[in-house]
Amino acid sequence: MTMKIYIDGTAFSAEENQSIMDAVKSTGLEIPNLCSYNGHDNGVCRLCMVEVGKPPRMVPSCSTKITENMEIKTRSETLDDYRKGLITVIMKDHPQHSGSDGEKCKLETYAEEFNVEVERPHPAMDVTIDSSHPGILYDPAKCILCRKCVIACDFDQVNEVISISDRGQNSRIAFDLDVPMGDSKCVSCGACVDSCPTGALIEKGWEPADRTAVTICPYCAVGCSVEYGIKDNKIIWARGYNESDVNHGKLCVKGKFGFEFEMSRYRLTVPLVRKRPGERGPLNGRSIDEVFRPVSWDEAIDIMAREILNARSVHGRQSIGGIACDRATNEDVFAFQKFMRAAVGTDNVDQSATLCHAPSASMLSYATGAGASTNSIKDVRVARTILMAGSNVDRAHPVLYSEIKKAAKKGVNLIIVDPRKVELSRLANRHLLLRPGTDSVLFSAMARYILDNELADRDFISSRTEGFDAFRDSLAPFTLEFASRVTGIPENEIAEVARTYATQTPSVIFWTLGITEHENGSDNVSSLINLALITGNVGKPGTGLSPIRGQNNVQGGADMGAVAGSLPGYQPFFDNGVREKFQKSWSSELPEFQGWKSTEMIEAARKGMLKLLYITGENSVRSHPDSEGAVAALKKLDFLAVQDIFMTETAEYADLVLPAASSYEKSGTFTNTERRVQLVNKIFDPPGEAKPDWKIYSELAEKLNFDMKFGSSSDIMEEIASLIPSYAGISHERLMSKGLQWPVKDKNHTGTDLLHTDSFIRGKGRFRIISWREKDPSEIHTYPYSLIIGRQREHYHTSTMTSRSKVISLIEGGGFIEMNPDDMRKENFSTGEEIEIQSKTGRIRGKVKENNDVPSGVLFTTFHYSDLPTNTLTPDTYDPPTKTPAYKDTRVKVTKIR
Amino acid sequence: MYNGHKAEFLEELTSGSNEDRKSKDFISKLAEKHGLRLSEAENIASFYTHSEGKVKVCRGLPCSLKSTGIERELLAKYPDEELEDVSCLGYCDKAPVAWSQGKYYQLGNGGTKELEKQPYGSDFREVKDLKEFLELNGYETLISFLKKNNRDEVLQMVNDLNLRGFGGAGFPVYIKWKAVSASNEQKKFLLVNAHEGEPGTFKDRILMETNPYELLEASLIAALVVGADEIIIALKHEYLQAENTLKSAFEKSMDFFHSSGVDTALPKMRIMRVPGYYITGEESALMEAIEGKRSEPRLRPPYPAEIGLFGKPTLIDNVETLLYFLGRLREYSKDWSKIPGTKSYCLTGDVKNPGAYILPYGSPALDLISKKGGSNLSDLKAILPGGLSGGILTSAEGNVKLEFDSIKAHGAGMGTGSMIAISKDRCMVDVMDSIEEFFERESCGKCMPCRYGTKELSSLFENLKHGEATGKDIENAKRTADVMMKGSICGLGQASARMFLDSLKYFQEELDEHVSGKCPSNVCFQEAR
Ligand SMILES: Cc1cc2nc3c(=O)[nH]c(=O)nc-3n(C[C@H](O)[C@H](O)[C@H](O)COP(=O)(O)O)c2cc1C
Ligand code: SF4
Ligand code: SF4
Ligand code: SF4
Ligand code: FES
Repeated sequence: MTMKIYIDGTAFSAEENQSIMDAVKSTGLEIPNLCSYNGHDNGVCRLCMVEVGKPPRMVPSCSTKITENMEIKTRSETLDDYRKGLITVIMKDHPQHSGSDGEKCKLETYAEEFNVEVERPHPAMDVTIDSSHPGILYDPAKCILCRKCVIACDFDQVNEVISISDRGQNSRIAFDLDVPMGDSKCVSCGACVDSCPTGALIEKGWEPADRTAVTICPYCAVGCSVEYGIKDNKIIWARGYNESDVNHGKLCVKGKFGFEFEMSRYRLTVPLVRKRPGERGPLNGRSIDEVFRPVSWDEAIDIMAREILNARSVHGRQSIGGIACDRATNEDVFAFQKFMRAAVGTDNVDQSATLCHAPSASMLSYATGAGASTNSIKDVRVARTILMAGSNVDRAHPVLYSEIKKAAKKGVNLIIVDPRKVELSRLANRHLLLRPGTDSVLFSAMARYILDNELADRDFISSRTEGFDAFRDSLAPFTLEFASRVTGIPENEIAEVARTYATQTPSVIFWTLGITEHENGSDNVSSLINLALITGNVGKPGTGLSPIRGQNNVQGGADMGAVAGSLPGYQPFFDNGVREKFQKSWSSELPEFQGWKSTEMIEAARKGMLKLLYITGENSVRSHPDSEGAVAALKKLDFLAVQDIFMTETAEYADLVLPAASSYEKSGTFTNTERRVQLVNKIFDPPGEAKPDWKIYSELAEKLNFDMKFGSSSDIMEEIASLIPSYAGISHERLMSKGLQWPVKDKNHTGTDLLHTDSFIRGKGRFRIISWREKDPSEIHTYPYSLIIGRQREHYHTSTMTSRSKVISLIEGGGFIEMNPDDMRKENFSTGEEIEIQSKTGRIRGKVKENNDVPSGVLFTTFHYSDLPTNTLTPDTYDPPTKTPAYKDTRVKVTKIR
Repeated sequence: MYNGHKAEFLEELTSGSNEDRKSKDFISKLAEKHGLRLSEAENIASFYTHSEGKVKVCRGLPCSLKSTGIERELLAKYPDEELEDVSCLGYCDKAPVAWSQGKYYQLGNGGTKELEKQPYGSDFREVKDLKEFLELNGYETLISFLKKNNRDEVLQMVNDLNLRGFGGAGFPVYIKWKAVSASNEQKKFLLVNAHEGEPGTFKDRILMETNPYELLEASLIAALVVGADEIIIALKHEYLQAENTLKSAFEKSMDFFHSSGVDTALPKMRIMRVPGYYITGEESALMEAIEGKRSEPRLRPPYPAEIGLFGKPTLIDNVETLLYFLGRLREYSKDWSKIPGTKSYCLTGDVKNPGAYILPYGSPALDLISKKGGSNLSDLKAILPGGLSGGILTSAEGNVKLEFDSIKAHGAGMGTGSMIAISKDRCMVDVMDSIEEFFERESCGKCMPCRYGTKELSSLFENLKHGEATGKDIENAKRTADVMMKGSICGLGQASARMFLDSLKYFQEELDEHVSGKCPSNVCFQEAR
């Protein structure tokens, strides 16, 4: 509904139920204000007064709703006097604001605008600046207690660190129980800084920028938009971009402080060739110059092309493989698989999803026809029940975490399934602390309980699914009693959670790698999908099956077809019509055989079947399981080319190292976890001679006598749109204003936030029967602990990017092995002590740390730190259908070092 | 579950000892117990300094007018951290007073005297027990209302009588009652505002202590009329005696209701003391305090009648508003419109007989000052008709009638009907200094016009008092006062500005003389000499 209103005499039509301030803003006019915070009633500065009605009455525009035919005056002599008077009396108490803060201080800006002169200021406050936080300063003397930081921290991010302390004239902001900011539970998201109108909370060393630019954050798959301040061609600060439909101005520590890698002096700037071929191994303290020789691009491309031709003629196309980078753009990944398939002629292409969410994509695709999240992030606002399984959202996806916390505060039923206590546990109705790896048993028992108690959605089952009877029969073994014995969770809790999920609808399920990175990862995913299918919790707002994707473009990477056996857009490799379409478009034959997954390629290399590997942007040595096995495999290759932005541990093994542009240095698109394709904007030229990946592929193809036909990244998107039906309506131009969620059927379609509404993409929803196999008890006896490898909030994967940020390094200084205090006592360990962990694959040493959140019998650590190379321990145990490694459940034993 | 238990946290916190209150460890454990984040605990705990161990010393205007300067000396045996300045203890006629562990003390020249058994004054009849109340036809009106259940008729009476609230704002009673009774929500509250805080006001306390039954009856009927199923009588933290009196009266009454067979038809009743400050008397700040949050006014709309206590429709009325309503309802069957009803007025400051008095509603000010107070108008320089928030009148206006419209016509406000008299010998700058300091201290700090404005006004008088203010400072303060009048969220910021503007209206000359270094009353600049 719209209403008619008059703003300074001009008639406008405005959406009803909005504030005067918002209504005026939509006409392009900003009413002066110091405390307004989008979506929250604050109303404390009182600067936003306007006059309404006749005779005119003054009201705060931020907290007064418009009414039909309202006459609003935003300027008048009375208002001018009022505003000037208010700014004057505020300035009187803040003599510190004296022109030095420039654009960061709204108060000063207004003081100038209203010609404010302060006579007889109050004596300056006697306060000390809090500089205890590594990246943020707090100067109480500049604070006007507008409370925006409190809203940002407590209500928007729901980190709940900042509050107003004390009363009246003595009010001030405090962190936790009034401790220095650096000692508080602050997670360094920066929302308080971004919201502060005066610079009282400010980045250390903040300076005004020459220009700003907006692009997508280079980290996780939530896909936040970030506004960067740029000075002297360097990013000097970052803040959340308010206009984004994804993050609405919020960021996490990585987005806020993790941009320094771009300017790092360690960036690769020229192609490098190993001086002594054959001696593949780590630098081991040697300088890059000692081991590598810089070469021109021409020479690098020559070498690479020669090696490819050589391998192809001697060993056949099957001997060549390539791994795509999921931090690269859709355009890059598309170009990569086209290069591999059409120019090189092999289907040995993969991307890092195999190391994470492949079971999710592939089982969702099996059941529904689309290997992607069925719903959108915004559905958490509509859901009545949220089930979070195997998800460390707090650390891995902080901005999505805020949305879930907000929902929990509003009273949603929150159920957590995780072997470890996580931050979110405190907000949950139930936290099921199950034994690692037993998820599929839990969910199957829930399904059985729901069916046995007639809590299922019978209509949905009969009209929208297939294979139900067989599925139902397969559930026979999964009684509550059995599930309780296997998972360690009491029967009544399993029943209660099942009941809540089935009846307190709409219910949505989120999961991440705690579900997929198991020997039975695909079964885990399927057991969740089955739950949604029997309760009809899919295809409606507030429901859904949502794997939260990891890397910023891992969804896009799979969409683009960098997956062996799956052409772009998940189009079947062996379908003749599909093959015809691609062959015609590319004027080339497609390979005849289906290729290997990345973990299989490493295996093939070890066996001498793969001869040439082209790794782009993956630190395989650290991220693949059984690191030592992976190293041995890489050493066995005839030729290893690595393309990256840094000299990673993997690049150290390469024969040829190619310098790539980072996402700040090229245009293209990323597809986030909710299928939203968003534009990546180029901010700088790449350093030195580094180039966007797609350009490198095009040049290589040319040397192989294949014409990729790409003049620009937007050319590539045109080709993508022509070949992938769900991207058909996407173009760079359309994405300029807002991202679009695929499927986007044509140029007029505005995208799809909700999949499978009336029918599943594949027709009917398909159940998948799963089975359960107990672990070998003798293994448990020898290796009594289950090791979970996860992540911290501040770091990203193998830290190639995050470790270059000064602030992040200061916040989180190193890796630990976290252990339950009871176990520590039993093993006679103390925090900080170095211990040895051994699995059947390898052994490492590391410092142990007590943590109550880790249950007895479980160890937790990360893979961020090079001095704690945890994947040395993970065995090459895979989920059979997808070859995803079992990072989340490695049997280990621990020993004291004497 | 997520949202912790703030009210329980606050209750346990403020009933802890001084030692506990200072300990971060104690607060963080308490936070955990009640499911609060540390920041929430800090937010609440730092707002309320209350603990049972504190000795409170009153600095409200009536007490500071009567101060002999030795109050602190008299309390020297207490360590500093146990002493706390407060702005009104509600014993203004015995000024200057202090409070400790529920007991009141007068800090006179003769030393510290416990004010044990209150002489309430001859106007107030103490109803000792239920029997006496029943003999005075107590609860008859309630029982007959229960029989007739004539809600609409009673509402109509409230409207016809044009009843106005006695809590300070003088808001038409009917509008709120109508709105709450129109709401279809299951849960509705009647909140009885007994958080009496206006300096110079103590009539609510006396009314409750002398006849607790009367308030119970009035609240029960009011709740039934608007359909509220729960009554909360919220007393200020110091009113321990009133709490006990009300609670025991309620217990006895319940027996009576039970034996009369009406107990099941009655709403729930909670009688509680609420920690807070002057601002806590403001209705939305009171609801916040009851919910265990910082006692800061809410933004309105939404009004309490839509979204009030714990998010439910809430009728909030002052103690005396309800009592006055009951009085009128009792007269209803008789020739009620001709009988004006009576009101309790407080009189403090520079008069011979300070105290609380009952007069026909709308009596001339002179009656209160001379007949009851025993003083001559001609000895006074100014009268503040409504505590510190009703503005200022001069002694020339002694014929003003003590009711809303008449006082308003004279440019001031009746507020709670509590008059503070200022003697001819006083220096207005000195008095205003105390008043503006009060507002500076009591501003909750939420909105900027008030937090910054009260600070400026207070520093202006501080400077005037020391001969350090200029005419320009006064001009600038006028503009600030204008901002406060227009922009403050609640009446506190406006009251502060209004007092200043009224002082200019009547006593600008006196202020100006201070600018040129003279105090006509020879009060200021004494130390310098
Ligand atoms: C600063 C301030 C202090 C107040 N203090 C009191 C008080 O002590 N007692 C009271 O009943 N009302 C007080 N009020 C008025 C209440 O907000 C509210 O108007 C009143 O409780 C409504 O009841 P009534 O309509 O019966 O008067 C105060 C208002 C303000 C702005
Ligand atoms: S940086 Fe984020 S978590 Fe830290 S205080 Fe600011 S808003 Fe809160
Ligand atoms: S620190 Fe900044 S945002 Fe927070 S209250 Fe102060 S001025 Fe406002
Ligand atoms: S006017 Fe004063 S007391 Fe009222 S809300 Fe504003 S700051 Fe608080
Ligand atoms: S923006 Fe409206 S009060 Fe601050």
